[in-house]
Amino acid sequence: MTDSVKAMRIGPVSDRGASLEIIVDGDPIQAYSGETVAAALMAAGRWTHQIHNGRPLAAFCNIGVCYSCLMTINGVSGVRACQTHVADGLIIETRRLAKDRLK
Amino acid sequence: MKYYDSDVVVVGAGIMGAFTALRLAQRKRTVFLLDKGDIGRESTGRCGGGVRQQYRDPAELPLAMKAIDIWAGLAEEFGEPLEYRRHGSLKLLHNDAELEEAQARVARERESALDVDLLTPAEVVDFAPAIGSDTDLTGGTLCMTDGTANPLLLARALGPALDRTGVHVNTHEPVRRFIEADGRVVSAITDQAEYRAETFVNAAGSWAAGLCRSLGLDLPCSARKSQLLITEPLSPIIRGFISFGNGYIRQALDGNLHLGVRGLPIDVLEKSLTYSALIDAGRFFPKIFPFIRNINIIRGFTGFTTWSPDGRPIIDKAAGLDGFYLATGFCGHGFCLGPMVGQLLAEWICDGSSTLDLSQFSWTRFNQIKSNAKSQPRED
Repeated sequence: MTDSVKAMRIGPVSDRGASLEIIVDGDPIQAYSGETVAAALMAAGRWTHQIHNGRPLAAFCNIGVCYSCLMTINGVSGVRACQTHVADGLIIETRRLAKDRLK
Repeated sequence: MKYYDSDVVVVGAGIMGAFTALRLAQRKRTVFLLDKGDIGRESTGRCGGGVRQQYRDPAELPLAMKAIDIWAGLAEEFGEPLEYRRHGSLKLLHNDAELEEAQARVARERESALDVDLLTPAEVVDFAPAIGSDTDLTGGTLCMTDGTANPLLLARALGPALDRTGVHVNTHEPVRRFIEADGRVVSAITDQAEYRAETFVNAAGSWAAGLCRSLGLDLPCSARKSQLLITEPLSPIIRGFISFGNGYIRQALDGNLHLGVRGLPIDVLEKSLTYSALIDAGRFFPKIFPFIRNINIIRGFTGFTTWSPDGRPIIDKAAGLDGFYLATGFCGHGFCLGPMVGQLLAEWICDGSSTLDLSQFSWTRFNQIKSNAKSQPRED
């Protein structure tokens, strides 16, 4: 898995942005400036995330229209991971439930 | 031109047509089931998913009560999950007139042994805490053997079930017209073939009236566009199928809320979501469910419902023309009834009569009624 995951990032043919760190469910994950959260998760081997009934989900369309990749990012729930750029110190929780809005 | 011969041709592979075809094939009839598109891709696959006995025209109640017995065994019969849950249906009452009407209705429904209760406003909020406690309600009616199912899963399960039962299913093959000869319907014509049979069933929903015209028969039904808005998934917050004056709400197993907005009368059968649906949803839902104000809608879709002039379905044999049955005009609440309607039509076709009286659903009752239906909807 590791080799094929490493192969997911395009090799040195492109200019890669600066290396940075995002926090995913408490774990530090390396990412590169210019990537989306969804891409960084895939590159890190985190293909699926959980929803409340225990069934795994993954980013599906990757173009922002299917809403399968909704996550809580920097405390805001319901954010599309495929439409969000990584930033140093970005905090991602892959639980998808909009608990912060159930008032 | 190719010819196919069979005992029965059913037109329309929605819940009505599919169950009719299924039960006929199980009674050893050769059946062709034809649809202009895929199985269950129109009203059936686009509905709110309520499987509801209460709050119906009284004539429908016996069918609904038998239908839920069939629903209870469907997932096992099909070997596929349908997410059918009996977590209740709740109808909210907004004023004294509605309360009075509900009192009479509940009394009548309970006489038929339906387990429906009249609730006080406090009891309504008890059942559905997501309803704001200062919402203007005069009460509610709750039926705990009612519930919901997943329309897409049902549509998906029908295909293999039909194949296993030996129904010949031809999808993406619209029937253009029927042909009659010597006082009976003899064929259904598509661009690909002529389907000849003893008996024909028109279960083509919003397209049924157009097909009736090819036989010179008037079907006084009109179309409405129902619209559903889907929210992001939430942890469980809404139980059952809750309906109120301007819409309904249920929560899918994955957590998404389905917000149903009341149907819009239309002349043209086109499926775009209207801006008014968003406006109406934004106006009506937060008044009853305050938390919805902050929830994201992620998608929406529409479906057509077929309305009869008196709000009651039409399940009948054509008068004066042999071999032609009709099942349509379910006014947006056919999902529960489907499995039972299919069984009753199969009985009528095979045995000459059905185990439940269908005389209240006659086509000829409209001869006495001046129809207000606009000119038939055309497809766009």
